[in-house]
Amino acid sequence: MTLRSAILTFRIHRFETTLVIGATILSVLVSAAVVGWMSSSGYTSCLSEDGSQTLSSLCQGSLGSWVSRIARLSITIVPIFPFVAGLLLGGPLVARELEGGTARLAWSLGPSRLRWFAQRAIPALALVVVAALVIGVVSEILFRTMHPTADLDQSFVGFRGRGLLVAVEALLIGSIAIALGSILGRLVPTFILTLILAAGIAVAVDKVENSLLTGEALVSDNFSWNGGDMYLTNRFRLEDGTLATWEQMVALHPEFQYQGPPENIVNVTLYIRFEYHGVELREALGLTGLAGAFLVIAGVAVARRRPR
Amino acid sequence: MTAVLEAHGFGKRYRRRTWALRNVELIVPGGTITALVGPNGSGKSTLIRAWIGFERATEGRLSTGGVDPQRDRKRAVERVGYVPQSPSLYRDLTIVDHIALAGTLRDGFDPQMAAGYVERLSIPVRAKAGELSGGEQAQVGLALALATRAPILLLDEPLASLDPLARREFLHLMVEAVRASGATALLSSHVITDIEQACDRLVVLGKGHTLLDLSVAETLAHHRIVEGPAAEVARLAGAEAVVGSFPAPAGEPLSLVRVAVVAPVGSEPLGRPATLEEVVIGHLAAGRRRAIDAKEEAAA
Repeated sequence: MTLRSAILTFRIHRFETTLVIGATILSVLVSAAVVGWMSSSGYTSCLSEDGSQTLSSLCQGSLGSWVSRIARLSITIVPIFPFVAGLLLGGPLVARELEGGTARLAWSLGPSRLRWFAQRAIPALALVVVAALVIGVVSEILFRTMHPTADLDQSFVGFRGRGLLVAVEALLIGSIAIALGSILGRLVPTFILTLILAAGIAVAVDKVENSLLTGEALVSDNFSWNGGDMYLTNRFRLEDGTLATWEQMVALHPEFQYQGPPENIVNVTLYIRFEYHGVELREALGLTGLAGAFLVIAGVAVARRRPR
Repeated sequence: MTAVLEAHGFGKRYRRRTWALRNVELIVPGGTITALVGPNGSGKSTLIRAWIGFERATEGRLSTGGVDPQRDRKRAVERVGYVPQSPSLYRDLTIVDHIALAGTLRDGFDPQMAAGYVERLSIPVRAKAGELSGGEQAQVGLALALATRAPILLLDEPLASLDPLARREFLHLMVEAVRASGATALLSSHVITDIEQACDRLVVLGKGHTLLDLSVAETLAHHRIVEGPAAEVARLAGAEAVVGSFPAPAGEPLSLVRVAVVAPVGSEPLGRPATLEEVVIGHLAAGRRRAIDAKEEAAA
């Protein structure tokens, strides 16, 4: 792959490239303005001294409404961006070439379809990852500004909505879109199925991550949330010290279903504290592996399929 | 002459039901320009796409410059320059971009040659493909295929959407380039008048079978047209010699007769010389008749 072929890939996908780069630049500019405004307006001094992130009554009003708007915007846009960028650049990458017949020209000119595929996929995914990483970093800066008392290197505030994971999610969505586009060869079904599959994978990843974290969680009888913890679930500590869900406990002691557990069976909280980067890295590696698997599927589909 | 493109017992079936081609036996000798003619659905595109590895054979085998395109598609594509029916250019890329793109995809691609052909055809190289006419796009496709310097050129009905002048320019460029390089070209087309001037071999495909495979000179020398239906003409020429009968634009039907020589010594030649178009029509009519007879026989 050469710089020339990367530039040509971006020219072929001019509309999508412009949209993704434009959205990223806009996000950076807006975030920079917001962070600058918040810093200069003394937002930090507005927070209660107990570190609970609530605004003191003096600062509520216009500043409070601004902060809630920014928070809403950040919460809404950042998780959507990987989907949009991944879909926009990944979906048409192979599907549109098959649909429009340009794959026929490219595959007759180039003996190696994998070379063609690499020339298309690497620049597109690189752009998706870089753009999402920028959005992730910007989001992290926003979170830091909005939560000045939280240690974001340890805390789970904004989990999956900031930093590295935003970029990896975009890589995964892009890879899924490329793979489905290579198999289906049609743009609209590729978009629809990518969204469905990505949503399914997001739910599955969340479940897997939760079950892994549950095994590693801290257990507290009197949990007090410190703002950076990741709450996982609640369990019942039985007489012998084992932890059970409500269903498990009721199966062992059906009489508790109506009368409730006795006082010696305690409801405890499972949570994760000070593990953010470890959890983030593990999830990033898992999602990158998944993205790699989808790219392999895409490569096989490209090598085997019949152009229209 | 060495065989450059070969099909032996080749058959292609789609969706486990429809046979596009069956039992095709065809050899295209090196250094020739061969016309592949047949009606819609006769399997011309399927055969060409199979030679470049875009279709897999259901039965039989193929060879593209000595390589089985099914087993080693990469090497088969290396030997081929391909011009599809619709030009398939990237609408938003300029012609210069297309030439650069081809250079990134294929080792040995000659960008100067491609640019030279495009400029010779007065096509603006800075124009986007979407701004060009269908004829210009086809010519760009041909320029790209020629600049691969491939020894085999496969042209899948590239003339279909072109006006007469564009067709002539396209064929002129193709013939000149092929003759200069000593390459082998296979051109599928409906437009028989153009083929007559550009090609030196003629293959007629009908209903998935090869109906005729001769040089253009032999084809013209060994076919004559006699006015009248096939049954009547058979009495004059001998039943074996009548290829097929088809309607004339006006008047009596015409029968295509195959002859060994124009006329035996001391006798008048039969009918008049056939044009290439009449030869093709006669063979297609015969092929259709045979298919109908076979179907009726099977039904009976």
